[in-house]
Amino acid sequence: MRNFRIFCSFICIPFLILLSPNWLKIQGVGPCWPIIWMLPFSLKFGSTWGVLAAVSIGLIADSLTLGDASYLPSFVILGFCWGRLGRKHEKLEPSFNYGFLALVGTLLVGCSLWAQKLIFHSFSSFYWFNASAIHTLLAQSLITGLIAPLLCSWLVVAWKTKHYKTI
Amino acid sequence: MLLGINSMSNLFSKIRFRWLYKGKFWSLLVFFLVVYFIRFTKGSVFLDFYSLLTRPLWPGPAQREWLVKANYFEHDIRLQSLEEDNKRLREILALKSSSGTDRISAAVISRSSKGWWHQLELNKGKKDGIEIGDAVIGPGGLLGLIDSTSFFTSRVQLLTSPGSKVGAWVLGAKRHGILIGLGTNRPKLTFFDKDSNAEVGDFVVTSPASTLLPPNLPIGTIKVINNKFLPSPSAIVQLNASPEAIDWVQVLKKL
Repeated sequence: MRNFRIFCSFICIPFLILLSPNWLKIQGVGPCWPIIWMLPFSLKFGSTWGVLAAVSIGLIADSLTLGDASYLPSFVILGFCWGRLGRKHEKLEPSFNYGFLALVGTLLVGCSLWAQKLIFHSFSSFYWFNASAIHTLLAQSLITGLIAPLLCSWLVVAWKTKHYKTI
Repeated sequence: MLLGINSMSNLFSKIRFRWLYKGKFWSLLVFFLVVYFIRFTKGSVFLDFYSLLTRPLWPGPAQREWLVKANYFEHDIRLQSLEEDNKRLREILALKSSSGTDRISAAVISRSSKGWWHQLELNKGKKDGIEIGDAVIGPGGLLGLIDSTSFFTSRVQLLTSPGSKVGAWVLGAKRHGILIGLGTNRPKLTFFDKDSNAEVGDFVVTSPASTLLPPNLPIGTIKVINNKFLPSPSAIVQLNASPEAIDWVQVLKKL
């Protein structure tokens, strides 16, 4: 039953990417939805499952974009690091940590995409200090960091198996 | 001796390939094959399903009326450019006619006009005859080109997207250039000639010499010119069509 709930939440991510509600955007930039699913999953299930989840969600996210840059490299790094972090610090529960980790993770994803775009477009149409890239990087990190505590905590609760204690 | 070999082979099969006999391995393998298939088909399964789910939420027919009214401005620019083009064509008589196109109306079902990708998802796809490379116009002029299609949907790469390159023609200056997306709201026009001869406020349309796009589709107006830019002058163009506010677009199907 828990696996089914995890699978359902996984399936919701591409639809959230496509739906991209306007009221959850800062200056037209929405949150990085895959990060919000991947963060609690990696922290809970460790680095191996974190990397596998990162590859899956990265492939799905890449399929919904124009395809000049990929989410995969940064997602794999984050899946591995968050998995290790979750195993070392099992009491990483407070919501602030989710927000901070999501913010740092989105910054890493943004920097990775920015670097790839610089390489793919041969520096002809994408500058080093491109105002729109900085705007996207900051706005996406901020909105992801803001909503991550709420949604990640909810996902962790939703994925928990029920234990009935007998007195 | 034979017994020893048998027991060894049993031991190997138990130790080395134990994971092959677990149901979890095969279910994971199937899951990853499905995920890879989705990546390979550029999310067409998701997009088709998403278009089915969001069908009741698609914009209503009132938007069409708004689109028709907004087209008047586009027609004014087109008329001016077509008159000038006609004069040139009478002299040259070597270019294709611009009337060989058919328009397909489509609703925008998902948009990302800011961020890392500048793209739109439309509710019409291969089924309706949309092909990769078709021009997409909205109220005001050209929005972008079709980047990929699924059976029910298609994806548009906007002119503002980094990597977008379209041949352009400046009406007042009569100069060719290439319009390059920068990721901002205003793309950059790089002229082919060293002398741009253009002024702020000049209209920019699709190149009459283009073989990929219909000629003389309005794109925007020049806002800033840098004549000292090397190797050739460049300009910043304000687009006529705004992808943030458009719910209906038209795809110009090549005939």
